[in-house]
Amino acid sequence: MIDARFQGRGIGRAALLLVIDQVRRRGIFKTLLLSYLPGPGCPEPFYRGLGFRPTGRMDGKEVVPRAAARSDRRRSANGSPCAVISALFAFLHFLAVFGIFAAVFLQWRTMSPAPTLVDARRIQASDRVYGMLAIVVLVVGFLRVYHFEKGKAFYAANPFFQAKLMLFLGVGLLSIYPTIRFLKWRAQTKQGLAPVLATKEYKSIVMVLRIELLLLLATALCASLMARGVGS
Amino acid sequence: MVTDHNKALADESLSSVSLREITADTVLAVLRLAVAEDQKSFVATNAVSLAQALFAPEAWYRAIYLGDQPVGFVMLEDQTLRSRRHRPPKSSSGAS
Repeated sequence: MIDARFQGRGIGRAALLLVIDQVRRRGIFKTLLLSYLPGPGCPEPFYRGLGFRPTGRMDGKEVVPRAAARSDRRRSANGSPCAVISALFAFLHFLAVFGIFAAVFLQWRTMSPAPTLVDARRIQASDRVYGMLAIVVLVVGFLRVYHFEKGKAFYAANPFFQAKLMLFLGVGLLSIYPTIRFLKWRAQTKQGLAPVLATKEYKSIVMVLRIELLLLLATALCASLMARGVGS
Repeated sequence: MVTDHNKALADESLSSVSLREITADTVLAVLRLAVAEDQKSFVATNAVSLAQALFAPEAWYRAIYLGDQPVGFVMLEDQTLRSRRHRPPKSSSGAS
């Protein structure tokens, strides 16, 4: 156990590595076993990262993974439900983030002082996709914080997590302006007409899209720093 | 307690994590460590673990330190301790 005030900083991991190291150095053990209750938020990814693999054994309601105590580094390939679901959510999260970046980039590239009807419809469509993906990112992101990965204490304490959440919400707020403009175009696009926009409107939309792209890049940087435990 | 906490927080380096034997001087600090309220169903308190260890010859346990601050507790079952300690100590029979 790690005291609540000291959690989320890798101390448990460091301590367990010390234990594993001591056990290995004695050289008389074949395996190291542990047990935990499986389920959402279970420490499976944590122990897996330390080399513990499923054995199929149970101790009451708890599963019993093992790690080799001799330094044979055979890696078993069989995934366990926890790791697979956690990986799937990570995949979904990344996919949505790539989609968001692509959607905003497409809007930025397609924007012009006098967009054609095709351009305008493309921009409107990518804005809808952006909106849906933003919801997916937030929902999946919070599921990952609360049910998978490093535990919510880690995220709550990490400045880069807070920064990336703020940046992403900033992108969301900024996107309100172009979204409102794109929705106004519908009066024209529904009748099969290209929207007419003032130079000022064009310039401010492009500027907002540019800032959104920059903020998204900064968000990705914060995410990488956070995932490596910088600042925690 | 708050100042200890801040001191340890300033000490960011994980290389300062160590496992130490619990002594009469440190046992109370170890007993005071606790997980968050919503984690209590997952793990026994340190008081319970140490009480169980008293009756389990195979129990091996250490306090986890960050620098000079006790921050956690680890306990495992070492089967070699069981066989070693269960060998009847012939010379010291009757000792309390």
